[in-house]
Amino acid sequence: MTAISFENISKTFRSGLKRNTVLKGLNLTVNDGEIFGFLGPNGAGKSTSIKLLLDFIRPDRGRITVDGFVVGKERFQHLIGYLPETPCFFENLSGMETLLFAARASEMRGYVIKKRAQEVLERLDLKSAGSWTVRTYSKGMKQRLGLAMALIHDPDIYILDEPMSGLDPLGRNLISDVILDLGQNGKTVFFSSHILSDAERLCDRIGILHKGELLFDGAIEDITEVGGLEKAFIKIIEEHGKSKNV
Amino acid sequence: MSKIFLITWVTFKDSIRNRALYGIFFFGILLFIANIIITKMFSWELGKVAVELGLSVVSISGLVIIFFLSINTMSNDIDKKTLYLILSRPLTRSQYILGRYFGLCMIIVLSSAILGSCAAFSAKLATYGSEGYIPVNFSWNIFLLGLVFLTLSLIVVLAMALLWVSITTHPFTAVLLSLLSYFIGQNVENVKNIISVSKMFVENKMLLKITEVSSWIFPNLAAFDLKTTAAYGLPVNAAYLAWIALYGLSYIGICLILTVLVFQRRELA
Repeated sequence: MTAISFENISKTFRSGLKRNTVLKGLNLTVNDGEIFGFLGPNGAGKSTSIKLLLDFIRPDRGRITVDGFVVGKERFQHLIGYLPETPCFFENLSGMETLLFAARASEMRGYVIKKRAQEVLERLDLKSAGSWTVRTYSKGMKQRLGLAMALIHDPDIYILDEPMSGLDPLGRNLISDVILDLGQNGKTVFFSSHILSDAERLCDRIGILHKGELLFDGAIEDITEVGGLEKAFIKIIEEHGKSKNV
Repeated sequence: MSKIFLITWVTFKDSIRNRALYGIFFFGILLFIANIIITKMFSWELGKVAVELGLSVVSISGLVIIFFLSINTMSNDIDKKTLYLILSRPLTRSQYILGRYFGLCMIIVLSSAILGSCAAFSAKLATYGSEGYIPVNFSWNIFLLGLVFLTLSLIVVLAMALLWVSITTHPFTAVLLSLLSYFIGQNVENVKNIISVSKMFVENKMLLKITEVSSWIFPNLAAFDLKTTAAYGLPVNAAYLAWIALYGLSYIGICLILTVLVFQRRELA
């Protein structure tokens, strides 16, 4: 069963008279229950793909589905938990208030909300900071609160944009453990990253995006027979760059 | 509806804890103290001066909240991507817009209530011992009515400001356009009346047309201004005020519908 699919997605941004094609005919499928790493250098089009997936922007061509629901035509947000690259919050609310808002916005009801919020804060090592205002949080704490907002309503599909960005080793380890737990519980995790070691550790399958084109889509083992993911990644990107210059 | 209320409540809670709001209240209170001092400088029409100044302070504070706090809040949602964490939930863009608007309206109403009470208190203090200078027909009920219509005009301006935020890409542009709209709204009826009777402009069909169109597009904010009525305790026509209130609510409705339509099509890159 397909959790997420991109079907022939193209997107161009206009700035005055200039046009910048960010995605060129992207075709990608993420299956139920897998951890999929969406990799690529900076500016490859990863965040744009995620924004298209969440209906923040619209594709020029193609179709995206989430669990069979067509993005832009049907409501699907109740199925997903999302962590943006740099989460921003209502700065004057506390961590707990922010989570309670997220829970109610995701249609959770009743006394379970507070109990669930406390569990999630504890899981992400934010229990003692739950009553602090978000304004006082460090970058790492905000990242973890953002992940907590994605977890609170226990969706089946997680979309995480650079989840380990800007975190110290302890924070990265915590978030990696959470992602692995989600995978073991049968959840689908689609996360973008340019940190290959994270993908190597966590992912069942990966996709490599470069200048709007998907260069590889498959299991990590398929490209890391010799030398590891980093070497394979660089080789693929360089070969693509050479083929474009010919 | 419950999701609109959820956004409304979160907006209100977040805004009420904003330190800038306390700065605006403090500024308002300083102006009320100034009101007492300034009023005492007049040896006639103390009541009129005290009431008009008091209500003007409420109006200025409300406008500062709109132009700096509210526009900034909405623009930050888009720029800093706070919006992403809201719209990735099962919430529509229209629910977000309406919830944010009603939350900011609650702040405006609360500000008017607090500063209106201070205005009444400062007017009472300013005219203490000079009861002979208070207009005979002055009534606190009409003062309250003036405050209510002033608040209504502020939430009309807020609706317009929200529309500009949804259309523009920079908060400074939204502030400028909102200020311009406010200025036109305050003066368009007067300008229209002057031009229509003046011999200088009667031949200038283009100018007449521009003024006519402007009076349709921009809200007639002068109609909500009951400061003089409140200051002198002038008689009020209930039917006329009902029409003004309906006009204000209709204008808010049109602005919100346009804002929702624009925002639904906006790309949040």
